[in-house]
Amino acid sequence: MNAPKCLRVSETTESMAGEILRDAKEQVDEIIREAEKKAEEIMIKARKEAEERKRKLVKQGKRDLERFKEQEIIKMRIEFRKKLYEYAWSMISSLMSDAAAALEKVRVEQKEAYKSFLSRSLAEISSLINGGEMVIHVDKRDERIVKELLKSLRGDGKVRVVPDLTTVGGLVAISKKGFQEVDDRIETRLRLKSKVIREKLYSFLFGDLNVGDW
Amino acid sequence: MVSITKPREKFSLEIEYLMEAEKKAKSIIEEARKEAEKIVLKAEEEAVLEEARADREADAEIKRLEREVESEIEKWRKTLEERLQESLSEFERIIRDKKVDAVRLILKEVLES
Repeated sequence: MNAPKCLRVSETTESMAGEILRDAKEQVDEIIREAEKKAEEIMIKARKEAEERKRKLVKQGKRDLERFKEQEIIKMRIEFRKKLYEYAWSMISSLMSDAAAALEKVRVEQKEAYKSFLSRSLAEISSLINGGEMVIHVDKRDERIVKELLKSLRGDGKVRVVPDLTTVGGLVAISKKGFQEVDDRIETRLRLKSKVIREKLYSFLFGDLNVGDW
Repeated sequence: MVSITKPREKFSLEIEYLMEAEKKAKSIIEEARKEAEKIVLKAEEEAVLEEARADREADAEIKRLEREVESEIEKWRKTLEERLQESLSEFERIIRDKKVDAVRLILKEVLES
């Protein structure tokens, strides 16, 4: 407060003005102090919330990543297990092909075994067709042996052998009236039993390996 | 204090003096209020930045964890690939050892059962 030199205010007035300004400064200090306090509270709250937010985000992220990892490992296990199974089954298919090739030679290379097979086949067919009259279709190469076997089975009187098949081995029997037909050719047996044989092979070859545990 | 003015002028002067003090007081209080607003506003802005900082840090931490997980998955892949190769070799060995018996088994199943 600068009063003109010639006009001076009283000490009381000066004191009152000083008081007004002191009060104002106190108010200023209080306002700033309050503002700083509020600012600090805002920051404390913000930092706390930020840390909490970060913690939650990281926790969620960890959970998602853990789930992702587990899923990826499961996918890989399934993928590799599938490869292993595919390989095993391809090996089995290859063995089945080898066996089919071996069966084509059974008539020549395993004569006794083949004869036994035909004998069992004829016996089964006879019982299935209940001893009635029937026509048996065979490969020309088997005609003689089938007739011989029929004699030994004492069933040849009611049976007619027709050598009109081309087959790896075996026969097809049809009851005289055509109501019953039994296809007992080797290739038919192989086809019909393929699933069971493949499962037995799997068990025989890889049964101890526990591929399913992958 | 020596007064060289008339009482009325003197009174007027003193009132003016006090009004000026009052005005100045109001002004500095007003300035303080503005300053206080700025302080709070700045804190609020920093609070927003804190949230962004938390997001950035969480993002960085998650990226680090992602790299860790990718590395773990890669380790698993290698381990499983090794096991697969071992198993395939084992299968090949079994087939070699049991091939004759396996074919015999098929023939037996077809011809004898």
